[in-house]
Order: sequence, then structure tokens, then C-alpha cells
Amino acid sequence: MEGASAYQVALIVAIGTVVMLLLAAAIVLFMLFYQKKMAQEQLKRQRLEMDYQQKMTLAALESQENERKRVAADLHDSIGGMLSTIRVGLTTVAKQISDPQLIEQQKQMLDDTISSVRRISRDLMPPTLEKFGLVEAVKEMCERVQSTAYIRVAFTEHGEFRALEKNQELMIFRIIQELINNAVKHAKSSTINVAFNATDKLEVIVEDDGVGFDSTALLRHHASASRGLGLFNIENRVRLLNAHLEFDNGRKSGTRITMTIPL
Amino acid sequence: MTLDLFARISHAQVYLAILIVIFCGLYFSKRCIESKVLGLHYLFGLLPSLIFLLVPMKGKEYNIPQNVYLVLQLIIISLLFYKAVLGKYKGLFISVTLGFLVFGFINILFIQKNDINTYTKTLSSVILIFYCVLYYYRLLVDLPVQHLHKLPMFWYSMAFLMYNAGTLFLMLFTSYLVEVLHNDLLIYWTFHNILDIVQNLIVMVGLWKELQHIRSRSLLPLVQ
Repeated sequence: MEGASAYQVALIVAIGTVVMLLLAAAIVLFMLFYQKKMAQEQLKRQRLEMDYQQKMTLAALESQENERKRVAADLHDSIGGMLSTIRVGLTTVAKQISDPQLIEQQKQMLDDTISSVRRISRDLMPPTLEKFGLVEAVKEMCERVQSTAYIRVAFTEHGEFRALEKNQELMIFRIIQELINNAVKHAKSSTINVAFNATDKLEVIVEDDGVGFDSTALLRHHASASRGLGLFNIENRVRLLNAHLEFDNGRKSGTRITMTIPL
Repeated sequence: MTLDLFARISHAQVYLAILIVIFCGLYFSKRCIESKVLGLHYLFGLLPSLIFLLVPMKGKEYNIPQNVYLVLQLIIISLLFYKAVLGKYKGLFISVTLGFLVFGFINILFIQKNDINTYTKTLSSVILIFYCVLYYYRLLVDLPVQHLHKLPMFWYSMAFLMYNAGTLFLMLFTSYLVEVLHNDLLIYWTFHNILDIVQNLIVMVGLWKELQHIRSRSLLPLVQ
């Protein structure tokens, strides 16, 4: 009787142990498979969220560009047109009055206003970009900055640059425009060099001899609200272009920013 | 089952524990907190073996140091899992440890006293299985890494789970088998020791994984 009981207890122990071991193994296996699946799903969700954010950024930038286009067209066609008409009217009046010098100052002011309206309109949406492409538009921008800001702005081009999609060219143009504006406004530079190196990728270098800035500190405040809107827009555009932006920190003075865009 | 084989398995078990302590000592400062606590746990686990080797225990009651060891061991393991779940469930860990502490002393003073003291060990196994499942649950919720097998704590937890699940029924019935049915404890305890060896081997895999990670991290600046 005792022998049978001992056997039964030993059997219970053996079965219990096997069942518990199987359960433990099942828990571990379940963990391995289920966690992997969950992690993959999380990764997928993050990717979708990133895609969505990218689409939202693209939509925001597109709407910004459309708005600029509309304002540029209004400025050029409507206000520009009206100012030109006034200019013609003034010239006619000047011919009819005895002393045309009386309205010469007004005429000069009107000419300056017409030039300003044209410049603002061109900055908002450069017609050269649509008509002749990125290289010509950047060249023209460099010339314009040189003539208005009294800073030497040089443009160089190496390699054979192939035309990109219109929206890509516009984004690159906006980035360069922002970088040049920063160099003029904040860097106190006397020379700005803009270079295009086209190989299997496009390398855009904007370099100035100004006071420079601490890019490490700038990137440290990456998430903070203190970051300017200009840099925020640059970052968004760089991300949309799948490009890479590099700040040269090893310089004694000035700034060198290299943007590499895969073609 | 011969006594010689039992002794050999027991020795292998102790040597593996020593090896784990040495392994934990390698790159100690760079190891994660879980591995440090685990090293402490194994170092502490060697003490009863050393006490039995050095101090003549024949005719003396060694259930008392064994039980004190069990209680202290659970405190260290509770700390290990508390760190592993990133300091969550603090109240739960404290309550479980205190409850176990009280039960351990009640058992040795009033229930099993000087007999084979297995109830404390059984409760310890139940608690450890619970800890392991809790840790795995947190892994599912937090999703800290994509590849779980790269986490050393995943292996430590697996080792504890396998050992405690395997020995639960053994501990539950050992007292009855030996004291009531006068069965031979040797075969049951050999099985227990084999499971302990398996546990130690799995722990060593975890330590090895961490060592690989530490080495690859220290090589990183050279690669750059």
C-alpha cells in the first residue's frame, strides 16, 4: 500500500515537474515570438507616424509656397501694374506742367517703390527658377544679394548638374536662400561662397567669412522653442529631400554648411 | 543513483556558481545593475556551501543557516527584479519580501522546525515564478528592445523561471516523500541539482551576452 502510494506521489511529482517545465518553456517561447511581433508592429506604427508627419510637413510647405506664389503674382500684376500706370501718369503730368522738377522727387520715390515691389515679388517666387532651373535661379540670387547687400557673393559649379523635380529644386533654392539670408543678417560676413558639386549626389556648400556660430549649441537646443523658424524650415526641407546637412565646426571663423542631396 | 554521482553533480553545481561569480566580476563596473546584483546573489549563494565545507555540521542543525540564507537570498532577488522592472511595483516587492520573511521564520520556529525544511523553499519558488512572469509582462508592455535575447535579464529571468518551475513540485512533496513514505531523497535532490546546473548555464548565457555587448561598445571608438 505504502509502495503504491509512494509510486503515485512520485508520479505526481514527475508529471507536475514536467508540466511546470513545459509551462515555463511555453512562457519563454511566447515572450520571444510575441514580443518580436509587438516590436515589429511598434516599428511599423512609428514609420507610419513619421510618413504622416512628413506628408503634413510637405503639405504645409506646399501651401506656404502656393501662398507665396499668389502674393508674388498679386504684387507683380496688381500693385506693380498699378504703380507702373501711376508712373506713366506722372510722366504725362510732368510734360504738361511748367516746372517738371517739382514732381521729380515723387517720380524717384515711385521708381524705388516699383523696384522694391519687383524685388519682393521675385524673392517670394523667382521666375528664373521656373523658367531656367535651380542653377540659374541661385546664380541670379547671388548677383542680386551682391548688388543690394554690398557683400561679395560668388557662385561656382562643378560637375554636370541634372535638373531635378520642380518641388525639389524649389526646396533646395529655399534652403540656400535661408542660408544666404542668415549669412547676411547674422554673420557680418564680407564674402559668401555658394558652390554646387554634382556627382552621383548633389553637394551644396554655403560658406562665409563672418563671425560663425556654435552649431553644437544650436543642435543641443534642437527640440527647444528657442530654435528659429528659419532653421526649423531648413530642417524640414532637408528631411523631405532625404538630404544631409553638415556644419563645419573645426573653423576658426566663418561658417561652412554642406548639404548633400542624393540624386 | 550512487552517492559518488550525487557528489560529482553537487560539485559541478558549486563550480558553476563560482564561475558565475568570476564572470560577473569581469568588467564589473560596466555591467548593468541586474548583473551586479546577480553576482552578489551567487556570491552569497556560495556561503552556505563554504559553511558546510569549513564548519563541521555533523550532528548540528543546519536548517537554521539554510533558512536564513533562503530569506536573505529572496531579498537580493527581489532587489534584482525590482531593478529589472525599473523601480515599478515598489509596494508589491516590499510586501512580498516582508511576507516571505515572516513565513520563513514562522516555518522554522513553528511548522517544520528541524525537519526537512521545504515549505520556505516552495514559497520562494512560487514568488520567483511570479517575479519572472511580472518581468516578462513588463517587457511586453515597455518593449525596450527588438531582440529580447540580447537582454541579459531576459536570460536570468528564464533561468530562474525554469529552475523554480522545475523544482516547485519537488519541494512541495519532498517532505512527504521522505518523512512519511521514507523514500530516498538522493534521487530527488540529484534532479534538483541538475536543474540548478541548467539554471546556472542559462545565467552564464546572459552574462556572456552582456559581455559581448560591453566589448562591442568598448571597440566602438576604435571603429569610428
